[in-house]
Amino acid sequence: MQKIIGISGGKGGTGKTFVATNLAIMLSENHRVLLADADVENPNVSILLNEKLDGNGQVVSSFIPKIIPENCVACGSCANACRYHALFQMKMKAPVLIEPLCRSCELCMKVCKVSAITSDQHAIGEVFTYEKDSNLTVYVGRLFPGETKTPRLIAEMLQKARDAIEKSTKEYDYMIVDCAPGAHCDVEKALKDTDEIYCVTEPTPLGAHDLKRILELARFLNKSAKIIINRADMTEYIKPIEQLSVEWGADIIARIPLSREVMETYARGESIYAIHKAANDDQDHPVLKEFASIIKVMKS
Amino acid sequence: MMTTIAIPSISGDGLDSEVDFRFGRAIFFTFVTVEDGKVKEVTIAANPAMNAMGGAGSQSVSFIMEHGADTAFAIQLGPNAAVALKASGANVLTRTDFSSPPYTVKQIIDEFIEGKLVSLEGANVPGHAGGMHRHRYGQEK
Repeated sequence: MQKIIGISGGKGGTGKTFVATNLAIMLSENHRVLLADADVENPNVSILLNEKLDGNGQVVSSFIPKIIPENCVACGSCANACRYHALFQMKMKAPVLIEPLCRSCELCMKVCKVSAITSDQHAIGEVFTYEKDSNLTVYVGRLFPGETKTPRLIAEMLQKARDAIEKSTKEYDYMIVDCAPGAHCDVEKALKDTDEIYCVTEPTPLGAHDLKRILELARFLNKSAKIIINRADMTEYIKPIEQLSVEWGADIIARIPLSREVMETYARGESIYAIHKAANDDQDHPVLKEFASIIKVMKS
Repeated sequence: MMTTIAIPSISGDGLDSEVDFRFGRAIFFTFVTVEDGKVKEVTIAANPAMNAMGGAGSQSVSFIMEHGADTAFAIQLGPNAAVALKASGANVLTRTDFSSPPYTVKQIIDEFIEGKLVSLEGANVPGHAGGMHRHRYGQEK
């Protein structure tokens, strides 16, 4: 594995998934690539790749305690140990689980001396995987609606992807992790094991504001960050992005122009690169030229 | 017949205190012991769960149970407090309408003695409704 790249950016709708999928497709021409969709609340990579996520997802579960009242001596140690107050206990009675408060730490099970707590599993989401073509493997996490343990599902999905890379007979060259918007713990989890973070932003006050938050997160994680400005000629609001680039030492590695064609292909679920590659005019395309320079940076 | 009823309260003024619409994050609990239709004892305690990071509902239920309450009064009851109250076996009471706030503890006790309060089955607001002083009697303030 040469590099793991996280595609983030803070603001929603800046083109993270657009950049991640097209980069993965372009790279997979000459390299073995694994694309991981870590936006598990709304995983959209597969829409852009024209793949359906029906059928056999692997269900991911997290621990919740199962209380066995026959074994319980009502000592109270589990309820006292739980920092989230997820176990409610009346004197002389077995505890009752208040499930929304449980964070799956398993401490209650470990402190119970009479085996009155065993492990139960609560399903939080699914992991899908498919081979888009011989050089492009895709991993997708999808959270069940209403579940809250997003980082746990992301960690599990990325672990499964890494296991697959390790077990594979062919060497993988790149892994691309497409993140959710925001700078919350789920994004942190997705970026934790990356080598570099590419922040996709747009020249608007919203783009600049949220970009700064991702740059802060990157510094917190001790990762090098680079900036990709999407729809770069859409407004005059380019200076603040350039300023952030200087302040945070994050190079601007591409300025993708606003393009109606990008939006149309995006809406149809097609790759702009695949279309122009087939027509053999990808070299001069203003959008694809920017992608080529991203790949150059990636390989350097 | 003796009953000790825990009433979430805004101040430590006993029977004169205003009832707190929140349960888990109530500021005080006023414990009123009623025997044969008469108030026998009134005690006041600050709610230790008021500023809890999470799980205020279940912690406040533990607290009122330790104080010997067998009945709880609630205006807004969240899901975690509801689960805990059910597990505790306590009787949970509420009013039928909240159109003329505020209510004093005394008023609620009088209504309890007159048998006007109704039982509350389960939560009547989503979690965190009382966290930020946002809602009062179910309305935006």
